Amino acid sequence: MKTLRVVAAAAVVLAVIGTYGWRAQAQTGPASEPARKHAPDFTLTDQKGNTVKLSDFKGKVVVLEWTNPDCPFVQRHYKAGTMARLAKAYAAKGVVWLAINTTYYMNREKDAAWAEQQQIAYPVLGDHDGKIGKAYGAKSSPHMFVIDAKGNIAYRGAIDNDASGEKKEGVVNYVALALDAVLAGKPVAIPETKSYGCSVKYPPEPT
Amino acid sequence: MRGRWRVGLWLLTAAAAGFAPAPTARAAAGEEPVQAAFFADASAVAAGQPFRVGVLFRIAPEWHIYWKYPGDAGLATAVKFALPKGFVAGELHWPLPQSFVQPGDVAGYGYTGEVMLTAEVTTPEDLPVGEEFAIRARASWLSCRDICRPGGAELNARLAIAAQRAPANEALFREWTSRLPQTEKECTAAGRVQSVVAAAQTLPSSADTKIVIAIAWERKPAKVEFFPAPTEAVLTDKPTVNTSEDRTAIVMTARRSGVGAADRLECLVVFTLPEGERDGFPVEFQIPAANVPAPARP
Repeated sequence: MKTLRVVAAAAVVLAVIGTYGWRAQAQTGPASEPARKHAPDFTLTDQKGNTVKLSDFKGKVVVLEWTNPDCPFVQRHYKAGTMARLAKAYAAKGVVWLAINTTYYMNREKDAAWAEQQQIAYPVLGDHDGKIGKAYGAKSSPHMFVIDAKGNIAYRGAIDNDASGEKKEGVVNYVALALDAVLAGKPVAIPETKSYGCSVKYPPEPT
Repeated sequence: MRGRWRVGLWLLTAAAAGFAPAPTARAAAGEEPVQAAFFADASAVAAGQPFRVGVLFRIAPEWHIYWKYPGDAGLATAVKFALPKGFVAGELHWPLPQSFVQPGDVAGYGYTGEVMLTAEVTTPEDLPVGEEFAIRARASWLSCRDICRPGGAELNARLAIAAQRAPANEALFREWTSRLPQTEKECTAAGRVQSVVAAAQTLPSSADTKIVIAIAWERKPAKVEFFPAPTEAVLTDKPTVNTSEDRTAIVMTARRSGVGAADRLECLVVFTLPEGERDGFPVEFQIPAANVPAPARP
């Protein structure tokens, strides 16, 4: 009797997978695995008015840092020098560091003022219409992406394992781990984590 | 970090006087949008008899704080209780969350208005009647509207020790207990759910595990919501929830992150009855590590 019930239940689930599951994924579901791995190209303008194209860095390892000057998580990491220190250390190894500000209510003047205030040495790219943020699925500030020399996303997720900023020890910087692996030509042990921070402030959508 | 560990002090008087009405709270610019207060369901506790403690969050209009899993962004609200030796606080109980869909398809799970996070405290077998003891609750949260700000409170209270437990704040605790998820069995016994079937299948040569939940309802709910609550070891994609008549199918892709070894994925199904009451039950899955690609057949 019990066996019969389990068999019936399994049939229901199989039917659901058939009718909803795969179709839902094909139509509206998340990107498939290969699509998750390819880094979409973009052309954006930095705080100084320079045009920056991702594909110009082909053959180089690139870090994308989704940022928002108004976000307390970003402010905490800038106060601690997390991004500047990493960017500087890995620039010596040929790694390109690009910050992207998607915050819809900001503009190039704001990006420039913030870059000057924080003495940011790398480009802060304006994506204030949110197109590139959406192409990457950037959800939070910070949200980090490491792109390998072939143009594939080798890591996406949090900057580290310390969301609340209260860890006294055992802080692991996932971006540094990924960069070390990519530069050594080794597989990235942790290719994806859940990012933390403020939600990326995309332009309000008509309801 | 302005106002980070603001001390909330209406707790003892409020606990003694019962549940005070919410102050009209529209946070002015720069004002902390969240106030936290401590409550216990006893004014005096007794040896060997458990009691409950809670932190009530009052959230200004337009702002929200986060559930134990915040969604795509945000930060889980946290409460830690510090108790004298021999007292043990159990895990936090989280009322049914709400979901906020923010521009750019950024999902957020949390609370607006008011929420109380509670825990049960077991007491030692031997306590000195007539004396008092101190409880400390450390609450921290991230509140957001168009901007976010971290907040926190260090809350202190003293409770008496008596031969018999003296109840307090009963209506408040009853109210927030009624907003906790039930078990699937309780939802079935209450005549709200007919059957639930859940399955997880790891796709061949893939890191992805597809989870499917099929629910048959007694009556078609007004709304069905799905809240994954992964640990850092598991990643989840956006779930799809399809309801037609008295059936709902929920489908979601999950995979292991490579951080930690826990394979448990807890999720919550929340449904709204036609009359407007919300109810919910947890569903659990095991998410295995990525399937190793099968060797090519000769």
